Amino acid sequence: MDELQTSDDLILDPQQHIEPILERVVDEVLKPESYDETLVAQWVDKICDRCMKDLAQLKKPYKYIVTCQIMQKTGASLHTGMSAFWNEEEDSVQQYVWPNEKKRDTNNSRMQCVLTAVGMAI
Amino acid sequence: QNQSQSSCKLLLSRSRKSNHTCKQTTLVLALPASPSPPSHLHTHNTMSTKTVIEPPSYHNKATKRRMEEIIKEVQADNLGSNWEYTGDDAALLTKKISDEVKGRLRDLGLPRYKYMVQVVLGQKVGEGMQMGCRCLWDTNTDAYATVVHGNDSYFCSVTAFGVYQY
Repeated sequence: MDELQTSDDLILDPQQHIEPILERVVDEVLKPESYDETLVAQWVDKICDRCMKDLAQLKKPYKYIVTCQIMQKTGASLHTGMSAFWNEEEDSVQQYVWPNEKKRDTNNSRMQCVLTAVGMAI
Repeated sequence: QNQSQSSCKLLLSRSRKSNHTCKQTTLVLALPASPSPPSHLHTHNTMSTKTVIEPPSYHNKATKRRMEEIIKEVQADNLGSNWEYTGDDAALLTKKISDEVKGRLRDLGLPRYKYMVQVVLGQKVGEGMQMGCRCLWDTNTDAYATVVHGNDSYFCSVTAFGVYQY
C-alpha cells in the first residue's frame, strides 16, 4: 500500500495538477463575457461542472470540492477565509483569482471570479 | 519421551472354587500417564489482516443540520445583525469565524471525518454576486452546509464541508 501512495500517478500536486485546470476553465467561460446578472448562475454552474469533470479525469484517489464565486467589480471589498481540519501531508487546496494580475491581456470584463479547489485523499 | 507401548497390568484374582457362592473377579487396569500432544500439531496463522473501514453509523455522521446549527451559532456570536462593515474588522473576523467553526466541528468528535470551512465576508454596495460549489464525493457519508447572513452593510456566507476518510 505504501508503494502505491508514493507513486507519482497517485499524488495530487496543487501547482502542477489543479492550477492549470482552474485557469483554463475560467478563461474559456468568462473571457468573452461581461457581467450579466441573468447569466451569472449559468456561468457558475458551467465553471464548476467543467472543473469537476477535468479533476475527475485526473483519476487520482481523491475526493474534490470546487467552489466558485463571481462578483461584479464595483470597488467593494471582499474577504475570504478558509479553515480546514485534514491530513496536511495528503490534502491540499488551490485558489485561483481571475483575472490574474500578471496576465494583463484579459479584458476588463467588470467582474472577478474566485475559484477554490480542495482535494482530500481517500 | 514417548512411550510407544502402554503397559497394562491385569490382575485377576479369583477366589477359589468353593462352596462360596460369590465369585469375585477384579480387573485392575493400570495405564501410565499419556504424554502431551506433540507440539508440531500447533499451526500458526500468518495471514495478513485486512482492515475494512465501515461507513459511519447514523449518530456518527456529519449531517447538514448539525453543521448548520454550529455555523448559525458562530455567526450570531461574532456578527449579530447590528455589525457595520469595516475593512480591518472584516479581515480579522473572517479568520476568527472560520477557525471557530472548524474548531467546533472538530469538537463534535465524529471519527474519521475531515472538515473544510470557507467564509466570505463582503461589503454590500449593490454589486451582484453568485456563488456555487460542486463536490465529487460519496453522498452517503459526506455533506456540506451553507448559511448566508447579513444586513444592509455586509453579507457573510459560511460553508462547511464534512468528508469521511475511508
